[in-house]
Amino acid sequence: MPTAPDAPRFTPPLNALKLTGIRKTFGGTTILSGFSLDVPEGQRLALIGGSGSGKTTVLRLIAGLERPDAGEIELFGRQLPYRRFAGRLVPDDPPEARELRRPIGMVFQHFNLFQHLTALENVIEAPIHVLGQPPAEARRAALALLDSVGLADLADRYPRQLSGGQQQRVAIVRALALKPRVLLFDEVTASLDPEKVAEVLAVIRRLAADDRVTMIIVTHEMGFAREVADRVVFMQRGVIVEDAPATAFFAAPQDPRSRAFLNLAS
Amino acid sequence: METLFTTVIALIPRLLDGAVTTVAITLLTAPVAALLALIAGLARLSHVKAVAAAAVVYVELFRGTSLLVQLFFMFYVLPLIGIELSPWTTGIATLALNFGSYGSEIVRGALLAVPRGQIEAALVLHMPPSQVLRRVLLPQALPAMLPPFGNQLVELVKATSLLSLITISDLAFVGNALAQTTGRVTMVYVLLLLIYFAIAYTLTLAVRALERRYGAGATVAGAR
Repeated sequence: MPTAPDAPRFTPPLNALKLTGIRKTFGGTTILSGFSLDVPEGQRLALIGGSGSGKTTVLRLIAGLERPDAGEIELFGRQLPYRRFAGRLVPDDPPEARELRRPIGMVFQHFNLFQHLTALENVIEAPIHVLGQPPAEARRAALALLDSVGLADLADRYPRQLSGGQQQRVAIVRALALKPRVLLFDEVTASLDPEKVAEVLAVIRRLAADDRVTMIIVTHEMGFAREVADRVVFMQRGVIVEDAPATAFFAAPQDPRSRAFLNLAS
Repeated sequence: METLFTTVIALIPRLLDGAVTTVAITLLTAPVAALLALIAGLARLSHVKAVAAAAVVYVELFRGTSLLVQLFFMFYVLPLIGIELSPWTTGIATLALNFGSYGSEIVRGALLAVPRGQIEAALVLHMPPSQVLRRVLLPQALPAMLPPFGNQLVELVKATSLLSLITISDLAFVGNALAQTTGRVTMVYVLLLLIYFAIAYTLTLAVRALERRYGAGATVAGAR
């Protein structure tokens, strides 16, 4: 039935991310077989599960660090093109693809700060050389961000001169400097000494208070997931076992596998 | 002893002339070879198959054949097909092509040794591939290239002696001539060895200084 062109249309709430039918195998091992997930804008989603459950792969696919064998990833309603990984050094990446992925930021388990640059230089690298910001402006913004995570004094240190917790805070600031609308956290506390975990979690907790940024947090820290996330997706062997509001999930997990996992994790 | 001393004094100026030629060839060849090494090393890692294949052909051709034969080919065969180059141009070009082919493997290895996480961090900051290479990979790979390049430089000094076979009056050429005209064979060749060693060792020390300044060791020294 045709509708009048000027009739008001129903617009569904915007999904920041929409993954549809993603399949991914690594050397014959199937990691994801038809994985689908919608993430509304502003949501703080905790992606949890044992090792090998595929949760990190999901993040890497969204970030464009892996290429799905099949399926689609939409970011704010636009389908993301895949990087071409033909070469052995740097994947081929057309400018249009980079442009579309620009709202995405990612923080890694092993920080991956540029070893040849100071903390400040790490933060201003992309604002200056990717966004084309004037250096003075980028420095000012970077110093303010470093200050907000208590690292202004260490701006001129090299990564190897910083503790793990300090490096991870710099890495978070480096991602924030590009003003991402979607932030991916991949086990960001997993390689930190226990006493350094709190300082990194405090930073993320503060970020989570800003509900304009969509966050997907892959973590083993159940207490943290419970506190920060508003939705929990529990994965096992590449499939979603349970998908529930965080409070409901932690109060009373429905699936026996979720219950077993939570009992082990706590 | 008097005569020994005077012979040495008489030989030295001529030998030093040859030494200057040897050093000049080395210093002219090294930057060309390094540039070829960088280009071929990067080309081997290219997405474009034809570019990578061309680099493989170049590298294997020049690594797989004798430097002496390459020199003779360039010097005696190219003129037959109408390409006339001066001995100096021939010598420097051949040495550069030969050393560039070995050097390209140093470049390739150093680039591949940069941790994958550095590239991934650059990608999630939305850097274009050229920038990942220029601003993240090369600055971290160059320090690792310094020690093997220093090795190559010393090899290059010694390899320049082959240019005496295409009429260049380098140190080896002058030494040979002096040994024959003066009959002071032992003396001349001992001096030759000493001068080659002095040149090579000076270059080694220069590269070490560079390593201390920029090399992988410099980063360790700056650690906590």
